[in-house]
Amino acid sequence: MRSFMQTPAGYIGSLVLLSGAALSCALSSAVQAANETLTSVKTDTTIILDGMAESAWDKAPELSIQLDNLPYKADNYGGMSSVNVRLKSLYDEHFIYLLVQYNDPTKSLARFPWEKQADGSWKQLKGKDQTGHDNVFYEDKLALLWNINARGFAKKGCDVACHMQDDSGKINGFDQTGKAPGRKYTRDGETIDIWHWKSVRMNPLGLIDDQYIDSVNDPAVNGEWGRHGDSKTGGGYVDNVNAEKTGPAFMNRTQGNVDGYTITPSQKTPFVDTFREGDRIPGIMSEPFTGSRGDIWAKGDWRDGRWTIEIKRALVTTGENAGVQDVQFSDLSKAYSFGVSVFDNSQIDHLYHEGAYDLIFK
Amino acid sequence: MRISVLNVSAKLALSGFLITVILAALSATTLIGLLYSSHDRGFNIPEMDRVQSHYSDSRLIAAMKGPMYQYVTEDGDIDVIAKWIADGAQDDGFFKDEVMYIISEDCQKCHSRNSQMSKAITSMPFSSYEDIVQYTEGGYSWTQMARTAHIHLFGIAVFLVIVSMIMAYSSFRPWMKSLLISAGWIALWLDIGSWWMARFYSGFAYVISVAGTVEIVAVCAMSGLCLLNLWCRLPAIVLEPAEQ
Ligand code: HEC
Repeated sequence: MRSFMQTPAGYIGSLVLLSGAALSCALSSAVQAANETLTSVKTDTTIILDGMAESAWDKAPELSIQLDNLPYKADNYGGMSSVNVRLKSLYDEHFIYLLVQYNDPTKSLARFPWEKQADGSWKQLKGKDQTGHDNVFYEDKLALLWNINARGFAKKGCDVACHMQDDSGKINGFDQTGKAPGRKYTRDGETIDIWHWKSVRMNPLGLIDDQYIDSVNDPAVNGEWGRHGDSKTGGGYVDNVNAEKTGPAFMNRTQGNVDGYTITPSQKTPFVDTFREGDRIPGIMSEPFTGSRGDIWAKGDWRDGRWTIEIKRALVTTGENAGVQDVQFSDLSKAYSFGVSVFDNSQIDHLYHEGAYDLIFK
Repeated sequence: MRISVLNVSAKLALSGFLITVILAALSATTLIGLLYSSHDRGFNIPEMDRVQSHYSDSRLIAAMKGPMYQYVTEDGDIDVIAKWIADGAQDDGFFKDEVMYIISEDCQKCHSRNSQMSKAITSMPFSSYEDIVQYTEGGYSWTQMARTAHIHLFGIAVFLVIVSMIMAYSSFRPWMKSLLISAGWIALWLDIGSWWMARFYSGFAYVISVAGTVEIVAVCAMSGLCLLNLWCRLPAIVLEPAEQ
């Protein structure tokens, strides 16, 4: 080494080597411009939706996405401030499958439960923030947004549909103070598909709430602005409340089911009060969606501080308005842009990432 | 006096300083690469049009082509705002219909007084014409220039004088010392002077890039050579004749 360094040629040689290394470093990082991708791999194994990853998933490459932004500061938010979501995808002739995993120290299912009070009355538990949305008695949720034809989605992701209050508390000219920090809607003629997984309301039924965003930006047209459920022929969820609004109307046939924060049809039975102080009854009742809104199957399972969610949908859906409301994986040589978001026991505050990711098929 | 004859503790002290200077120069290069490219990680080569934009465009346009580019829906939107600025940045119909539409879709959710977005910047709201028009002046404003220039001049002068002095007391040939020491100082003045000149002629962006590169190379070269001089035996050809 020393004799090499003692010649001027040796010096110049090492300088050239060093700067070459630095340059190639710089160049290699300069070329990676396209979105990061999730590669869906062909499978011939039957995937069982049970929230447990079978070995078939081993051959699918993982995409890891860091979510560390929140759209607003809910004054009673106690959830995570960042989370790493790991995704895998498989497909076969008819279906696409997704495996979603993320760590969440708390399994939050107590969505607006009724609780028996010391005086025998029933109280529905709520913990609303400054915008009137819950972050205490809610449920864990996850949303995947798939671009259908929204301008800018491939670059900016979900952000293209996100509209926050301006300085005077307005969104599109409508006062939203105390109502909502932000609203989702697209530009005219554009739609985005939402796969909204809800751990309490739909997970027990093995479904995702299939929704979409369009350009409605007026609360008089739709209370949820651009956000809609897909067309349905039946099913859904309703509050479990009696006519006097003083307590529940129904209860589960069998008590003590830890996940029983909703009432599914097979469990539904009229409420009879034989309960003790502190006992809880679900605040909601769910029936499987039928039609386009119920054409995505999913099962999530929380174990040792981690949610594992398996999702299955037809590559091409055929329900009512499927062309407008659903992303169609009809051309497997194309890239499909998406974004992902985690709701940690929160009604609307959600962890998100900037930009978009692409799904490709191999 | 030569730095090569110092005792081991003094050599250690100087080495610590010189290594730190090299690390600082590397961080500065990384930052420049990030600011003037479309990446948010890694080492990047600055893109010339972004450098040009930063020093000659208005802050609004420079931000849209630079650090805020990721929030711009389509490149054409930058042209719309650039056209408005070129036409005098008036509070007219074009501003209300076209410019404000883009700003409200792409920028306001963070740039507003009450924003609670994770990346909010409530100190720089874009809610009204008055809010926005102050970022439409081309190039560095007097305040911006004075602020950035004095921080850089004071800061760089302090470590450059130390590095130059160590170099001055090294064993290298006098022409090598003079070359590197003068290159360091001259590049500094050229670099910072061109920040201002690029307002008037955007070609000065090239002077900024070249002078900046010379500056960093000179600082790293002086620090690296002095480190070698402190700890290694050097080939005769680079040494001052008396030292051979
Ligand atoms: C996600 C939040 C966010 C969005 C959206 C956003 N900005 Fe920014 N902007 C910031 C933050 C934070 C800073 C200060 C730190 C920085 O410069 O990165 C900033 C800084 C700026 C600056 C000052 C840069 C400088 O130092 O000259 C300008 C100008 C600017 N933004 C313009 C825009 C424009 C125009 C848009 C819309 C295309 C936009 N921003 C969208 C968060 C945002």
